[in-house]
Amino acid sequence: MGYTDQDAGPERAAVELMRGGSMSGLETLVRLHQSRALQAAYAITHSQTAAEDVVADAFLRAYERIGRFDPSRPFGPWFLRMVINLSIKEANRVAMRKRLHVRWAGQQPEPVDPAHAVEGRDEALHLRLAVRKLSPRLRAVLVLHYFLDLNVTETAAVLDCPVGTVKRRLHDARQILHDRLMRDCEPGVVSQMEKRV
Amino acid sequence: MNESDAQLDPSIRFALQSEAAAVNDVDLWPHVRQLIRSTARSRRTGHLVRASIVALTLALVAGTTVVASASSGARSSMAATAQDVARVVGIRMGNDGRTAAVTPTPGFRVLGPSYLPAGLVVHSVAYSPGRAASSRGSVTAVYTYGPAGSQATPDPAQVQVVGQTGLPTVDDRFSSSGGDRYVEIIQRPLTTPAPKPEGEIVAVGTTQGFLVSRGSDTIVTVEKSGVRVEIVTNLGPPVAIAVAGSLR
Repeated sequence: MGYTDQDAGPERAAVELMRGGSMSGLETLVRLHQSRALQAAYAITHSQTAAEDVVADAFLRAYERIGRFDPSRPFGPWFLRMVINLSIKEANRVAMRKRLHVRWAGQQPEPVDPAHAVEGRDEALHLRLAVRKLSPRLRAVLVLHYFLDLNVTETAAVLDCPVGTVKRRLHDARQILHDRLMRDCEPGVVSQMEKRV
Repeated sequence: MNESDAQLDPSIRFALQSEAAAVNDVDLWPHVRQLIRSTARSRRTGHLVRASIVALTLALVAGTTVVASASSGARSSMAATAQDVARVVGIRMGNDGRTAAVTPTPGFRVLGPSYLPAGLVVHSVAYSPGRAASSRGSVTAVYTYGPAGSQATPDPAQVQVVGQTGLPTVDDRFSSSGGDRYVEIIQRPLTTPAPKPEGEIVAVGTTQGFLVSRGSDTIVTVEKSGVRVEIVTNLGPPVAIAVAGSLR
């Protein structure tokens, strides 16, 4: 599914083509990176449409800004930075709209999906739902660190923030998830999870 | 990181992997390519508008200078010419590559199709504000798209279509990349009295249209929102009727 070292040769050639204004270079880069980028964007936006738009927009930006890219470095992290930042922006936009909608319409926030309530006994699903409730910024740091397997220094580089900020956000996210699981799950579920890991 | 954090880590990793696995793997290349072309078009429109403004300013300055130093008879004629030159005729494209607005306003709402056969993209748009808007004859703005990297040149036949009646006319052309399949949408204001369109009566949504065949072309004429619209296509009557029914 993801990008491998074997892709480095075609990637470098594609970047060179794109720097020369070639669309075929961009096409190669889209094929190489779209899958992982879509997954990362989806993990932050939770919307197929939004994820597709975000990744397409990131490719457009990459095409426009390829002159600023250092070709001696891998394309992936540079591109991913745009995907993550656009995903955070999109998720924030959607969250803001939901809040305004609730305020203007005087409506209650969306009720819990009954299917989730039934399946909620599953600890993994509990955790997925808890991750969804995190702020986009915290979700992004989890996606970069746990899903894309970037270390804190690499995560900080993508988010353009100090390493200490990444560490603090990771700690906050873990703390919130832990507290939510303790609050929402039956007592046995958390202990089962702790045993499993 | 404390012990509880370390215990939670694999579960978070698993939860995120499950979450990401829920996304459908799609090929984004057509989407990206379309986005880049639309952006390029918008930029070209911006360049066109800026160039028009520069040309207009120069023309006005030149016109004013000449009018000021000419005889009174010549002055009024030159002023009328300057007035015509001062008319900015333009087409603004939306991000989706379709016509968003035309200048000056045509006096009717420009409709756009919400349905087009797969593979058709905007080929060119032409607009004439009509003779009433210009005493010196029809002024036409043509915006033509070509395949990426190729030279886009206005089609004289399209310029003729928008200029032939003297009415404000918008002509949107959509075609396949090879140009072998096309749909053309020509819009003019409904005049009073309106001559009845030729052709057999067909149902177009909840209204009626008139269908006629000319060679390989099918032409469907409908009247919507004070606009007479002609759909011309080589893709047959069902496509012509479907496009006409999708105009919004």
